[in-house]
Amino acid sequence: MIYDASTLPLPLELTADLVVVGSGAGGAMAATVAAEAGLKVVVLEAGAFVPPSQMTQREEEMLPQLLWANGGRTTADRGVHIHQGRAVGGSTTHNINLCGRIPEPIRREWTRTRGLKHLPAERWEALYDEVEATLGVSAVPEERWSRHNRLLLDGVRKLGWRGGGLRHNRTGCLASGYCLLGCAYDAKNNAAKVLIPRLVAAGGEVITRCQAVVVTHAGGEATGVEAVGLDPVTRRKLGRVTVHAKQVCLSASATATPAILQRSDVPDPSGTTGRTLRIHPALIAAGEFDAPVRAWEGIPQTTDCTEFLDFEAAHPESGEAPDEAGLRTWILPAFAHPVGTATMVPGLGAAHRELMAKYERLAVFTGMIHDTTTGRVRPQGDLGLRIDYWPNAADRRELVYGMARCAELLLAAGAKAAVIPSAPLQEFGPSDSLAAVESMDLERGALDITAVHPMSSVSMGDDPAVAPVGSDGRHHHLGRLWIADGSLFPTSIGVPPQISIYAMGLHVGRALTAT
Amino acid sequence: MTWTRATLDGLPRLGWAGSPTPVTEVPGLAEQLGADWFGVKRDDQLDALSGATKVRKLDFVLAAPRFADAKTWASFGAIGSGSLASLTQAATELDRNLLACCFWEPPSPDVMGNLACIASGPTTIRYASGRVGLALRYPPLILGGKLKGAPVVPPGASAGEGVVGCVRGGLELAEQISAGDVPKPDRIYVPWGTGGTSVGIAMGLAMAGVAIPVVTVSTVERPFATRSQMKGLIKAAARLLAPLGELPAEALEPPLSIVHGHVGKGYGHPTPASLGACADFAEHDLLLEPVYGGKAFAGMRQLEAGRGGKVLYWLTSHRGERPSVEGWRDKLPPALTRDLARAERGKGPSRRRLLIGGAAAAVVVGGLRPTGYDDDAPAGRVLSGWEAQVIAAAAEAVIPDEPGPLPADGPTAWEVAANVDRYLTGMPKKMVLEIHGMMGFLEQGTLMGGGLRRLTKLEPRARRRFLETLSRMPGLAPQASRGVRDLCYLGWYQDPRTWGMLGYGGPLVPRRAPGSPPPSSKYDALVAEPGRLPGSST
Repeated sequence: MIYDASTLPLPLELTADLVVVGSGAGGAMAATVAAEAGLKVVVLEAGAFVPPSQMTQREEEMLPQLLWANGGRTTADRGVHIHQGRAVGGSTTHNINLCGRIPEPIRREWTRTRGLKHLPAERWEALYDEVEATLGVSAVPEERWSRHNRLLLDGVRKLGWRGGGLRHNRTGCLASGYCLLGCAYDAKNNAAKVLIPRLVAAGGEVITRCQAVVVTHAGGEATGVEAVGLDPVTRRKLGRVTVHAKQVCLSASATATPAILQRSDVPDPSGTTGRTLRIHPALIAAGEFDAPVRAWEGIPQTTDCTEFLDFEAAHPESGEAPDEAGLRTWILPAFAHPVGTATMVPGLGAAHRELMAKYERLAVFTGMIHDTTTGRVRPQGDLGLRIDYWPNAADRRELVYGMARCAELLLAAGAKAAVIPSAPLQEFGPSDSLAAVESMDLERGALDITAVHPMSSVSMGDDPAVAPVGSDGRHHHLGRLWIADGSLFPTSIGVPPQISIYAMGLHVGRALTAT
Repeated sequence: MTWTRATLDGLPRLGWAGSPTPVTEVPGLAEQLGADWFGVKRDDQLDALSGATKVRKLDFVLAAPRFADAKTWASFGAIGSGSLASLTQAATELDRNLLACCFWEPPSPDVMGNLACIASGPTTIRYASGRVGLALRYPPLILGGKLKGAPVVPPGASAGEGVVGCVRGGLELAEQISAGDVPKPDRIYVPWGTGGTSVGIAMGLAMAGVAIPVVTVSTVERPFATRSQMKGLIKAAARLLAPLGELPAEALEPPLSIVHGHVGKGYGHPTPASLGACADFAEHDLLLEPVYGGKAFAGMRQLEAGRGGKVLYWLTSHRGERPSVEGWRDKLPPALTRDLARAERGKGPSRRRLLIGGAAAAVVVGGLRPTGYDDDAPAGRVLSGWEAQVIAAAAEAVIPDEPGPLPADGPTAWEVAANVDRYLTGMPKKMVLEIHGMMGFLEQGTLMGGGLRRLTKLEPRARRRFLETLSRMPGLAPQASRGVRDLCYLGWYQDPRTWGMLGYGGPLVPRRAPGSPPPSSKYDALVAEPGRLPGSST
């Protein structure tokens, strides 16, 4: 069953075979696998259970319910916005259902640099096959592509670039366009829909509004988790929840997992826990069209441009990646509802309103990069964390290069002007050179950098001196402790991480069950 | 002999310091100090340039032959030096050029305003990050003489002629007292920056035979405010005055004392007490900047507590905004541009310092004067009443095409504030603390920048100007400007009344009546009733 900690008498002590921290793709999958194998499983979730019937499609109501910091999480210097889910289902509750396997050149590089003896190529494929079947992953039919998405492909075709349709995990989708605010129609085949009912049916217990603080350990082995119940409105601590467990699995995301590990003083001779964060940062460009685009309508991201995403070139077998821009950028349509748009549009007063008045006729493309920067995550108090991340020179160059290509694509698609949302605003017509965009020196605050894919902060590898976790998810330095989320990836992956995180949950869930 | 202002006309001067500046009696501050009478000598009302006691100094300094005959002057000071800014305005007025040698100081709205003025004038800027580096690179700045052929105006224009200009100020006050226009104060307080002002005023009073102790509160580190410097300045002025007549002995040893202990973190850094002083002045429509005048007033407040008598404070700062032109940053030397950019990237004041500083200012200033806010301001779960008023005030500055009341086709300013409060509820504790700090910084930042009133007391147009100024500043100030802007738009565009203009139809799911339970769903069976203990509980 799902229990709300804010309604329970606290302090509370629980006992389980396995306690899983986090109910997102990795945690829900690992917990379900373990529960179905007969383990007594308790899952701790900091957020609430928000079923589709409570999805109101209102930004001001759903963002605080579904996202950390009410959707306002940023790096410590405010240079990068990081959106992460906090609810039963984790980020799968508010994501856009994009599904993509980690490209082979990246996995090949991981094998070369990290070994990953528990994850040979055929194991990856088997995991993906099983996950995709579980989630009902399929290509979004072309007739369901929105005008916004078709515009991107119009540009791709005119420029002769690579691009195409995308695969999603959705069934019964009404194309309302409100995916980012949670699906009111239960069409997302997300963790809350696909796994949590299975987990509960297998006897698993989910404690919501219950945030893990530390992993308890003694004698070199994990013994459980100390957590706190949270007030549903203020999110202040209400009282302690202690879970005694034979095994602990952290699936709290690539930010919370390393924070908990560090707060718990879990040893890591490699010194890398929390120090290798990647996030897939992205910049946007907007295009003004004569006819309405109404980009908020329809399935949000069904097409892409892969012209500037060359994994073979970026991850050559030689290990020597070329130093050039345009190999690590993935371009997609991106749009926001009014509040999200208004906070990204620069200017004050009339200048701001005039841009907002074009809302209906704007298309927005984003260039998300397969980043090489390593950021840092640290705990802050019992419940908070601090993220430090600012793109390195190569990533900054790739970001502005990608933004320039977004503008080029918009103009090719028929936009009468492409807009770079800097302050002051930069506007380009079809015959204008975009060289000024490409040569921008990206500085903090100059443009809104957004990231939705934190990963790689507690990376896996066979050598305990190099990585804190093995390729089966077992922590090298603390017995009975497992990691099952996007933290495990040794580098960023350049594609949406959700099915890979599900795959990690499946893989680690099986491994810990086998012990 | 009797010394009067007219006596000094025997020396060359430009005539910029004309009629006596008024003395404004401020009973409210007298009551706060426990004084019988409190007045402010208003040098901000000097007509020339943008006012300020500096006008008195430049009146004589720039008429001295070595400057009057030069096409270009040189001088030095911090990047936001009021002296360099006044000198720039003077150069513009007199069709001269200025070689301005600047060293770094922490940017603030006032500093950036002065720097904009300096860069906008007929000025060539040379820059080094430190005072010592600057002096080593350009020795004449310290040793005197000429720099690249241009005579050097000493910092603060505290050359002998500059002191004489302030002697004239002392004589002017003595005449006002003699005429019965101003009661004879028991003590006079003046900020010490380079010393010329305090020395000149004290000498002038003594020359007029008016024995009033002058207390000068140092706003610079101790080595830059010493008795030997005081004596040097007296000697320099005396040398110039000697041909005009005999100086009384009291003029060579005026009753002038230097008070230390109010510099705080250092020159150029406001202190909570100096910010509180600015706020006190603002309540009486008097402008005070926090790094000179504010510190002097803070020192005076400490010394005068419960002492009684008549007290006069000499206001030395300029009035209003100094002139500047678009694109002034293009004239800055690359090294200064880099340092400003580094400050913008956060190498300036740390987030903690700025926000805690903002919060401290809010507490100090708010603590001194908790009144003056609209009683209707809706305190929420996160925002206090005055913070809600800051949001509402910012909304009026940010949202309408032209600052003023919000358009009728949307929420009211109070509704925007309430929407923001709901959004902030449940935010992480550290972020909430930062929001409080940001609110304090925004509300009191106007005072730090030399403004007269708190943000909420400004007219909407002035609020927008302030937010725009913050957005162009180095360091973290732009984040405060951007942060409050985003919150205002968040509070505005979440209201369905604003969606018509966008063509946005809004949610497709029907809106439930407030307080009604959500419809039942298949997921209900997964959820335990509230309070039911998990099976795993022990």
